[in-house]
Amino acid sequence: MARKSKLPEGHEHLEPYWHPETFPKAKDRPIAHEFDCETQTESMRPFTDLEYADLLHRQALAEAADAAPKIHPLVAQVATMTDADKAALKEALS
Amino acid sequence: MPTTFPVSSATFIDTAYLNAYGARLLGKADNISAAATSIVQIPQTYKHLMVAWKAKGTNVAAASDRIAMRLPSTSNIYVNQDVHGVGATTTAEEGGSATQPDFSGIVGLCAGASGTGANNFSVGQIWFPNYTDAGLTALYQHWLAISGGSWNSSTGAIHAGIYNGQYYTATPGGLASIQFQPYSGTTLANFSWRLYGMG
Repeated sequence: MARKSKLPEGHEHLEPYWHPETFPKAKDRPIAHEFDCETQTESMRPFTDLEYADLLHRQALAEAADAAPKIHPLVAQVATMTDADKAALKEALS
Repeated sequence: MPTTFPVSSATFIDTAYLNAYGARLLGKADNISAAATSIVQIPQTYKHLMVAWKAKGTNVAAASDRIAMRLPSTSNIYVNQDVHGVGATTTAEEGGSATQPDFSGIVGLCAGASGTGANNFSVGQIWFPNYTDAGLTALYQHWLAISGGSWNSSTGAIHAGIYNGQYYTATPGGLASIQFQPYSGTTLANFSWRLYGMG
């Protein structure tokens, strides 16, 4: 089994998704477009290990957002009010 | 700033003047359809950066999607905040975390696969003010963005918003690359951009 490469510094949040030895081979990965400002050239290339781990992370975030219970914006607003404002709101509604 | 407009015999606008006070086109791409589009080797010799973009949409199975931006070089995105309206509904959102940067700041909305109407696009601008500020060893910087557009010609499918995000550079001038991706989909369709350096 190939040795797992080191997660680049500053990307520790990707640790749960950092399993490059199981990632698809380059030919099976999503394709990224790239423009180099220094050489003024464009190219197409497969996702890097880091980009692929980030993709897995984004997909997990999107799934978690879909699964999360939806809170009505007004309820969320009340939750952040001070006790005095809540009391004033209660009085206004009574 | 010079009080006269410097004009040489060789060029209408003097190059030194343009470098100091004008806007320079640093890079461009048109109608890219890919999982991501990156701008790399961004010069560190300007004061501000501005990206102007236009997108058809993404392949997510929904009416709309978000345009996500990553700063994959030596910069980390920590949090982003936006206020946007779709039709008559206004939403305020916050994303990211100081302890777990998600690297995907939101800079606008666009159509999803089920919302794409013919000839409808979304557009936006992203500003990186003072991106090369020096004098400190580490900086929390911000970008500012506006976005608007439509995913079809129906009522409720037009949108507009303002977006802000905080990113961190370990060293001044650490913003060396920018990458755009669909937030929920896997392919960005007909994405065009221009990058300008200013000041």
